[in-house]
Parts: sequence; C-alpha cells; structure tokens
Amino acid sequence: MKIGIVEDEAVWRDKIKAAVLKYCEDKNISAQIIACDSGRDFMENADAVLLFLDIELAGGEDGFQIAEKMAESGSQCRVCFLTSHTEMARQGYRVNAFRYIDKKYPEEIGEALDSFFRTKIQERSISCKNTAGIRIKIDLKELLLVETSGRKLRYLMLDGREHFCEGRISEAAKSLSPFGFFHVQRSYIVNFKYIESVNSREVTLCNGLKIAIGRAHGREFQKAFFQWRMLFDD
Amino acid sequence: MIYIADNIANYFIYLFIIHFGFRLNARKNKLFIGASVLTMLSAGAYNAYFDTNSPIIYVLWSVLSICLFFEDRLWHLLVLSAALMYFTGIIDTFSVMLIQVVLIGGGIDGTDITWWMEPAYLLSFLVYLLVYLRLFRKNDVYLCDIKLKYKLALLIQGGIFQMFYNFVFYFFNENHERYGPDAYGVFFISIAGAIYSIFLTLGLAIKNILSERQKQELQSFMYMQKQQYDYQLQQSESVRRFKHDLVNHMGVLRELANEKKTEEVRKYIDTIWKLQDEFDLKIHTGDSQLDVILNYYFYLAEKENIDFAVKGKLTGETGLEMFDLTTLMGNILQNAMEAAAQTAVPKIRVALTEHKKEIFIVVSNSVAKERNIPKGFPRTSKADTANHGFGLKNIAAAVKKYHGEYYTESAEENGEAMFKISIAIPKEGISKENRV
Repeated sequence: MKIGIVEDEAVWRDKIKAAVLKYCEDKNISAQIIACDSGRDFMENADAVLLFLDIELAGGEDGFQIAEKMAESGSQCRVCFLTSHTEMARQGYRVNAFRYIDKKYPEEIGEALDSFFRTKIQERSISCKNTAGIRIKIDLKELLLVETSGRKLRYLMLDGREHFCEGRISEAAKSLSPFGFFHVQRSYIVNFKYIESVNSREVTLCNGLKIAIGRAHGREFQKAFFQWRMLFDD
Repeated sequence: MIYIADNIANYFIYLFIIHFGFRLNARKNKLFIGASVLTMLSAGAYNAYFDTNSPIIYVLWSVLSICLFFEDRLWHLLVLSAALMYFTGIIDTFSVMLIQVVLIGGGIDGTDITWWMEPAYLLSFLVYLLVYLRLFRKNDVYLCDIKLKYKLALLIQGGIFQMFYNFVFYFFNENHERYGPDAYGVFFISIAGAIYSIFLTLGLAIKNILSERQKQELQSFMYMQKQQYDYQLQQSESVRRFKHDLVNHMGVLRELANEKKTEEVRKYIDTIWKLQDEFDLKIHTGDSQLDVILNYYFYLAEKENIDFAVKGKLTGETGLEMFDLTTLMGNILQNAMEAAAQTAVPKIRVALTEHKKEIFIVVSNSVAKERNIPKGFPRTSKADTANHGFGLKNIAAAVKKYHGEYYTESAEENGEAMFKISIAIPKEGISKENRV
C-alpha cells in the first residue's frame, strides 16, 4: 500500500513522514511512503491510496488543481490537504477532501489515518464450508447479502454469484456486524455499502432487491445505517 | 363476564391517562406488567364470582395495578392513582347516569353493573381523548406540568360537579315523570357547562405554562444577546488597541528603516503580523455563517474555561437558512455549554463531515455522571423543569425541515460521561427547501 506526501518545505515533509511512519509501525501496517516536493513528481504513483497534499506549493503549483487532476484521471486516491490557518481563511475549502489537516496540529494525521483505515473495513474475507464440504473464501466488499435458504445460508455476491454454506444466520450476523453488515430481518443480512435507498419499512439494494425491515429492528437499523454513512460511506 | 369487561375498560382508561397525561412510562420488567394485568383480572373475577361491586376491591386493584404498571416513585403513584380514581370516578359515574337518563329516563337507582356501563366508559374515554388531543398534545403541555393550584382547582371543580349531578340525578329519579323535555334540555345544558368549566380551567393552566415558557425563552434570548454584545465589544476593543499601537509600530519601523536595519525591520513586521492574526476568526469551517456561530461559542467557552474544539471542514456554505442554522447550532451549543459547565473537566467537541449526499454534524459534551439520559427526548435536569427541555424540540423541527435525521446518546470517553448528538442533513433536502 502506498501513502504519498507532497510538500515543498522539507521541514514539514519530514515531520509528516515521521508521523505516518510511526503510525504504521505502531499499528503494524506495511506501507510504502512516497514523499515528494512537487505534484509532478508524485503523479507517477497513481496507485497510491492516500495522499497528504500541501495546498500552496512552490513553482506555482496548486494542491487543489493536483487533486482535481487526479480525480479526473480516475484515481481512487484519498486526499488529505495540509493547510495553515491563514491560508484557508483566504482560500476556503474548495474541494471536498478526505481531511483538511492544520500543519500546526500534527496529531490530526493520526486521526486521519485512523479514519482512513476504518473505511477499509470491508477489505477482508471470511471463510466457510460450502455444500460440497470445501472451504471457500468470501470477499466482504463483494458480498451483497446473506439469506437463509432451507437449512443453509446463501451468500449472494455483487456480480450475482452465490455460495451456499453451512451455518446459522444469527451466528453469521454476529460475526459480520462489525464490518458494516446488518441483520435486517429474520432471514436476511445486508451489506450497508450496497443499500440504495431506505424507508421506514424496507431497504432497496443496488440490484433492485427490496427487503422488509423486521419490526423489532427498525430503530436500531436506522441508527446503525446512520453511523455507517457517517464513518465509512462517501 | 360484565364485571371483567368493566375492569378492563377502567384499566385501559387509567393507563391512557397516566401514560399520555402524566407522561409516565411502563416498567421495563415484564413481570411487573404481568402482575398488574393479573391484579386487574382477578379483581374482575372476584367481583363476578361474588356478584358484588365492592369499593374496597375497586380501590385495591386500581392502586395496586397502577403501582405495578408504571415506573415512578411509589408515593407519587399512590397519590396519583387515588386522585385519578376520584376524578375518573366522577366522570365515569356521570356518564353511566347520563346514559341511564337517556335510555330509561331514570336516575341513580341501582348499583348493579349492567351493559350500558360499557358505552358509558366509551363516553368518558372520549372526554379524556378530547382533553388530550385538544389541550395537551396541541400545546405540548401535560398534566404533570400543571401547577399545584390549578390541580387543586380542578379537584374542587370535580367535587362541585359531583355534588351538582348527584343532586340533579336524585331529583330526576324522584320526579322525572312530572317534567317534560324542557327540563331535560336545561339539565343537558348545565352538564355541558360543568364539563366546559373544567375544560376552561385546564386551558387556563396550560396558557399559564405556555406564557411562562415564552418568558423564559425571551429571557435566555436577551441573555444571549447581551453576551453577543460583550463579544463584539471585546473584538472592537482589541482592534482599537491595535490601531492605537499601530502609530507606535510605524514610528519604530521608520526609525529602524532610517538606520537601514533591514533584518530588524523584518523581525518587527513578523511580530506585528502575528498580532493582527488574533483578530481573525479562530475557527474556519468553510461556511461563513457557521463560523460566526462557532466562533461566538468558542469565545463563550473560553470565558467559562470549557475546552472547545472543532474538527472537519465543509466545501462551502451549508445552504441552510441562517435562521435554521442558528436554531440548530445555537440550541445544541447552548445545551452543551450549560451541561459541560457543571462538570469537573468541561469540554465540547464539534465534528463536521461532508459526504457526497449528506452533511454530518456531531456535537458531544461532557455531562455530570449521575445524569441519566433516557431514550427519545432527554428530560431536562434543570430545576425549573416546566420551562426547559424544549431546545431539542426546536432542533428536531429544524432537522425535519431539511428531511434530516438526528440521534442523541450518552457515551463514555476516557471514563468521562459524554452526551452526544449526531445530525445528518441530506444535501438534496437543503436544495429542495431553498427552492420552495
């Protein structure tokens, strides 16, 4: 995983790099840190997942423009702008970035990294035994829903593939709930990520499937979905 | 069977009045509720078995079933159930007699429970429902908020009402054959007048509470305005001070320039630069209106030694009307300030998050530990309960206007009790509302 830093002042660049390195060491995350002094140099690393980007760069480069250019080229990289107080009072926060970090408060870097890794919560897989007794892996970010099907569980993936596995829905719900899944009614667990719309009675998933929300779960669901949207979704 | 139906009807009326009129909640422990229902049914069964309408059984089951059903102080429940029994007893008996007069032209003869008692309960229930809908819910004032002197007035009115109709019914019972429809007409008008006078007293009590509330709101508004003036005064004073010093600074700079001390000039300019930085707003969120509100509360928090921090940025104006934004943030921050000021380590955190479809605002503040916040609207913990606890309703109304959502919860952060309110406002809701 690549994390980029674009900052023309070496003092700040080193400080930020040290903060990111310390965070990754503490949390045991293996990351490659690319520190550049200009946007042009960084552009070669289009596969970076997170970028700490200064707004006013030397040589007339503008952080906002760099971010916009990256977004246009289809980069999935999240941007945390590095700002100074007076600078922002002048320019405003034109671009909706992942974070705006005040250079005066480097502790905000740790918080930004925390939030960033939280958004990656579904980047993991679970394993279960299918009907043939073979252990298979299910990628959580591709999993649309889990449904009871007779005495089995049906795992429906985003692309329409389905896996039938052993297990109980209540146990599946318990193990999936920390990763953005919700047991909406007796026989369904849905992935918050793929909810298209919600009303008080049912959820509509991105494939058009409508699932009624169990009466006992209504309020709880609304709250959990709210939390999910606030913390993970964009 | 009619005895049991009679008890069930009475039971429902009690539950209705206590829950909706006094805002008391049922016990969470289902055993108590089961015991309450059992008490009510066994009282009905006892009366049915012995074919009696014993007042002792009536008093016992009513008090016991209410005390078992609701969660509150025991003595409060005891007084409440006794008062209710007296008052609903008047209205119920009156309804029974009224139906008796209409149906058989008679008065208070006979105390047996008969079938017309059930329509009579329905009639009295309709009276309570009318009071609830037309007076309580409409004005958001409930029986529990009403001052003692009005409660006493209602009780006395009820007593007079009872004496009056006892007398009239007795009179009709003796003489109903002698009088024609005229007397019945006069009788119904005076009954309606008696009920109307109870309505009026209740209405007066409610009006009193509403005007108290208004007065309180006005006072807090005046107080806020005064604080805002203080804030502005402080701002303009520091600008004036700087302006005064500026002449001296210019003098120093001219001297330094005359002596060609460029490095000193640069250092001096840097110092002045830092000084002018102080006039800038301390908090920048991206929304200028929100900045005004947050900076004002930041100033207040600093004055009261409350740790106040804002995290997160917005790409531009929220788009909420200034009035709504002030209602929303003003109420939230005012509540937060008042609660945080009472704690050992007072702090307020504001977090702003903007996503493609929604804006999230989360405000958390430290609260005194013993304060237990129930679900739904937190009941106010202020001494003057009748006049507080409405900030959240204003917040709810503002959120609803933009089709948003909000949640309140009590949480713990590093062992400290915190109160947290999270709001989501869909951007679509904002643009829709502004188009109207």
